[in-house]
Amino acid sequence: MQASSDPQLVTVTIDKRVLQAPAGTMILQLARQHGIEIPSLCDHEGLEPQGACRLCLVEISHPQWPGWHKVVTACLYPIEDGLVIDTQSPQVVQARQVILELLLSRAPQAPVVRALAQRYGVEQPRYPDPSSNCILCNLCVRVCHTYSTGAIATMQRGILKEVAPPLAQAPVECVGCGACATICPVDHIPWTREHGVVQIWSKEFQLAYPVIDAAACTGCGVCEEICPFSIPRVVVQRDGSMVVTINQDYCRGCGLCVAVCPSGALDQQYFSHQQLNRGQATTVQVMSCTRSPWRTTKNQILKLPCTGRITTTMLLDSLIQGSQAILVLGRSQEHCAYHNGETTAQQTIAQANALAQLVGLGTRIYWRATQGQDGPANALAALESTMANLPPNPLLATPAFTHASGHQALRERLAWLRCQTSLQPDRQTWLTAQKLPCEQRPVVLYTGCVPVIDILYGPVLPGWEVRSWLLQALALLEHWGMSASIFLSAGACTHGGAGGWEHDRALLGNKTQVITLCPDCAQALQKHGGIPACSLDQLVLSKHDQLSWRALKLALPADHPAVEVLASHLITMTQARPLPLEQAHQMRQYLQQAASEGATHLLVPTPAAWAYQQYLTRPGSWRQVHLEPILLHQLVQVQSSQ
Amino acid sequence: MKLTSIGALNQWRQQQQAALAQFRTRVQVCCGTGCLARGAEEVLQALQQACVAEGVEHSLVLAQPCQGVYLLPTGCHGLCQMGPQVRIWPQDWVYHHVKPADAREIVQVSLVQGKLVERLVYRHFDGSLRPTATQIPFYQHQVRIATQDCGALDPQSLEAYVAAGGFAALAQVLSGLPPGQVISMIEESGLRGRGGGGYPTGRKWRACAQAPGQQRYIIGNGDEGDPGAFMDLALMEGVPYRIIEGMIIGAYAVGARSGYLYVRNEYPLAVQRLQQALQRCYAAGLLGPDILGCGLDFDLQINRGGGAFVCGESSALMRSLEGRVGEPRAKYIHSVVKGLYDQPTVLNNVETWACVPAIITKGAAWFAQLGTADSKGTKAFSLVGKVVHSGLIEVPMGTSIQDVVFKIGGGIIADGTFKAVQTGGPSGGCIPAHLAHLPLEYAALNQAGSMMGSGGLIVMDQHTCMVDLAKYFIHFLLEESCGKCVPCREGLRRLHLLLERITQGEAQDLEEIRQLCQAIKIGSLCGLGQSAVNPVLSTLRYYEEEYRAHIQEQKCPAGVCRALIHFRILENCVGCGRCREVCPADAIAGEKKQPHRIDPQRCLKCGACVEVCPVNAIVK
Repeated sequence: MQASSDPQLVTVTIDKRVLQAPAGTMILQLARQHGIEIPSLCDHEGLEPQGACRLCLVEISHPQWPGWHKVVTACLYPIEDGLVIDTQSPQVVQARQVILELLLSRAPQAPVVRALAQRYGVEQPRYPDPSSNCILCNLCVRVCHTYSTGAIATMQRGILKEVAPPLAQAPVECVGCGACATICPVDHIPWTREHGVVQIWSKEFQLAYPVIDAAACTGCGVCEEICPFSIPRVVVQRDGSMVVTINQDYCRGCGLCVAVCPSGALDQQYFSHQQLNRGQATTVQVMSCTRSPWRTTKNQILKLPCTGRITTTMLLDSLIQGSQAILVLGRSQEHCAYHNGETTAQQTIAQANALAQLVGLGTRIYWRATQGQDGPANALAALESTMANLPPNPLLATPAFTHASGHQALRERLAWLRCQTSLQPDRQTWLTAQKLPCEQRPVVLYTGCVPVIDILYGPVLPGWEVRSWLLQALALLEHWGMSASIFLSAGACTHGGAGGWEHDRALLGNKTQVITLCPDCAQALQKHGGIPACSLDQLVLSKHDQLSWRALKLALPADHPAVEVLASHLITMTQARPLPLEQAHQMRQYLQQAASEGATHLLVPTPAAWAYQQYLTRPGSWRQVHLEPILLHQLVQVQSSQ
Repeated sequence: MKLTSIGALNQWRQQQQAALAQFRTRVQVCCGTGCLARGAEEVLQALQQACVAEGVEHSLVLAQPCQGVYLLPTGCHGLCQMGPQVRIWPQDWVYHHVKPADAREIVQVSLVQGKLVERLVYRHFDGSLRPTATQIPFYQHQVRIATQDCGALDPQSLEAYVAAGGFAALAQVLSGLPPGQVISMIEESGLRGRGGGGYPTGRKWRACAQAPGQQRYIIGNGDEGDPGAFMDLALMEGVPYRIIEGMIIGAYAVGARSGYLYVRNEYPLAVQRLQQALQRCYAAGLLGPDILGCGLDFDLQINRGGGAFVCGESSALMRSLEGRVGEPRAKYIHSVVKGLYDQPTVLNNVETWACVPAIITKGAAWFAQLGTADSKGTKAFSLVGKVVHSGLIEVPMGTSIQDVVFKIGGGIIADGTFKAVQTGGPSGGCIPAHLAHLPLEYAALNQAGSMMGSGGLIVMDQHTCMVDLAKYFIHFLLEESCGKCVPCREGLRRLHLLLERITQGEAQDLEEIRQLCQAIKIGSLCGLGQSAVNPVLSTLRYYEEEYRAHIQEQKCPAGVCRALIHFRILENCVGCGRCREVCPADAIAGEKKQPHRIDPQRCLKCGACVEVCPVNAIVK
């Protein structure tokens, strides 16, 4: 009956105003939405109501149940259809007056109490007994338990009750977030925050600020977007370069910006890349949000300010150093203190898992949310034993990497992983799973860095999976009478991880014709491996006169405007470098031809370049506004240069 | 020994009954907390030694039956005032005030010769000897269901409980009574919660069984905290297996797989006995996986409460079980829907659980015919205060207060005047003597401004000051309030302050007190706060003149409030000097054989002089 997922709208009457709202809305919430004033001292929209101050008492009745009426707390009472609510009944007002007078006796100096008391005509406490300014609204305790580590609680009971850390000692769990002090309506919790040092509950905290390497920063602005509090700001320097600045007085130290920085320009005090990338060998590594209540695992837990702080590099490093598996303990997204911490963590983990699969390590990274307060500890134990029973991690080595963070670091690790002869990517499985042909054919289509880029930056072509890309290439080759089999590889060029050519050379053997998706991969194979390879781009260019537009419209319907032109391998716009004249000339021809056929969009696809541009200009990014005109400008330049 | 089927249980029961039948005589020594404090354990030892000395064949456990005497410790017999008690079967003689020194005589006279030891027998006020329990008025008017066998069985012995028909209800349920039907039986019986609220138990179970949830829990509330109440204590110490059986049946009915017994830590013996009972049940396959081979899984464990009165409130108890601060929450969403760990939970008082097996075996109709239209069955009370026979009683609902006080309790101590009775502990109210005809049932007590509560009955005589009484309870609740909500925390402090002032003789506006009480009553979060003002409101309702005497005449009619009483010595003082000797403050002076005087400046009002005066010349 009540199981419908869609909460029904019900009609209630508050102070003679007829209002509609979903069933289950609390009376106080509804009243606030409609500007009806009900006093309250312990309510906060970000916290579960608890009904401690009892000022939001209202009287309810129901026309269908004559004689039934009740005094309830508005913050906790869910509305039902037909309810009639009186927020100012004499009984309620009198109770509020008594309560305010009692509160005023306790805390005569508290401005919120004084103001409210005055409104209800309570001028002076009758029996002043100022014991403490604290009105025990419990907001501090609740905010700590809901959004932080649950370091403080109430001690004693009854009249002796006070807010304090356990045993009135400096609380172990306190992370110095200061939420308790800032939410307190009577400023009862003393704290200071100066020069990166927070003092609260007799503890002192050095804040875990991001540290900026200005030389490495490219000013891409990714940190700006990820920060839950919009604290990083990209500013233009005198010399025209762009560098991020972070105001340490506002930073909360979650580390999300550090995790997403693509150039490795950010690091974090006390949670540096160097410290965190030190994986633990042969065990199940557990990384956890500091706010996660789960503490019962048998493995050592690496506590992070936010699980969003983990990076793909960090996870791969841990696996490279022999971790059997990695468990990340987050919280469900609605409980995340930073609004996108958990989603960021899950994206990172999906990426790292895909990369690990690609190089043959399998899925070894798990993520679990703790729902609410208590997760069943045995579920966690079961998961841990599952992880311990995975096939043993074949890696147990501690190579010295030069980069600690950023995409450089990631490439370095992938390259290293590609060279591990113990790791055999299970090509057949992957291809079967992707529903791609896996039989051997004379020509080899070398995937190269494209799957890696696909994983790291999202689809290389918008809306296209690697699979569509490969099918298109296969069809194209088929069109030219070349039957090709797919060779899955993490790449030979620097995009997906340099150095793969050596390993691939052995596997490719003496294949006569190797076609690569990425031009750089072809170059690397030829240059270092002596393998006769040519990129699809080159092939297409060499056969451009045979190119039939219609034949290439494989994956999308013919009338789709975006695929009117599929000049997929025409323009190499790596790092916004101008095109060689010859290519530019060819491109112009294609552009003219495409335009004559009514094309409106142009796809620009060298994988790395395309992906990078895509990443920077993704919807919502501040660069979208600036970069697109730049790209257009370059196209116009190319056109006019001829 | 593990019972893997209902057949095995029945067979084992027959074995135990056969063992019990071998004994010629049974000697039951009350080992409830009250009797233990008076040396019941020594009495038991002395009886055993006497048996050895007299060469009487005996056994202390049912597992080693013999042809002679079964000497066993039992739970509370009830008449704690006259403990330690020893009962002898098959004659059903009750001996009172037994001391270890009496053991030899009991063995020689009663066990060997089969005669009565007359000096240990209850003597009625009309002078007649009443050797058997059925002749003693205290027991005559009782009907025992929850406390049945409390004084007859060895609480530590699963064998004894099974021999007395224990776990037959469970077997009956498991051998083909569907859960819905069990709930229907409880509903038809009209059983209501015995912990205070009086919510219909069957309705509670049904709501829980129907509520959506991944897990269901059941809880036995043994966190009895009312001053002067010990019904739950007696049950947990005396018939732990009955509570466990009731809870297993409840778990079956609502579909719970785990349960908790929340027992206050101040009841070490109850915890110990329940612990032992749980261990025996687990070993016998009556708890744990696949109970009696019927596919029912149920785990039960004990959780000891830290001694906060508020943790007897259901939602606070659940928070405490979860390991959090024991604070109540608003129950607009009932705990049968969202209780322990936010899952559907049935919480019942241990007394309610103890009623369940009897309802199953004897039928809902049998239970429903006891009591009144609104309150069915029986209720255990702890009868204490200024009553001649205090102790644990169980009477059918609807028995009048008068009957309890005078027929069972034997009237007021020292032929005093019956003034009032406080029912329902600190959350209840007092009922004056002129309303003593009221029946003990939920509705009638509520109407009179009190409540059934968990079953404390405190009898008061003319020496009780009602303002002082109200102040006492408010002080108790002030200390026990959790402090979460303002009206209870700050309001009770204020209320205590105002009552304190009245007992000091300072002028006070009774209307202000009434207003404050009203705000606390409607404004408080949980039952503790909402009912905390009952003692004040009920005394104000029935004894306003006593309040006025304090305020207007600076007098305490009962002579309790120290600030308002003044000791003086009358003219009939014989000058014996005893008062002068006992006075701790040297406030009394006077020549020998001359009337003495009290110096009011020095007098501490301790009353020591009043007690020693041979001619009652000192008055308040």
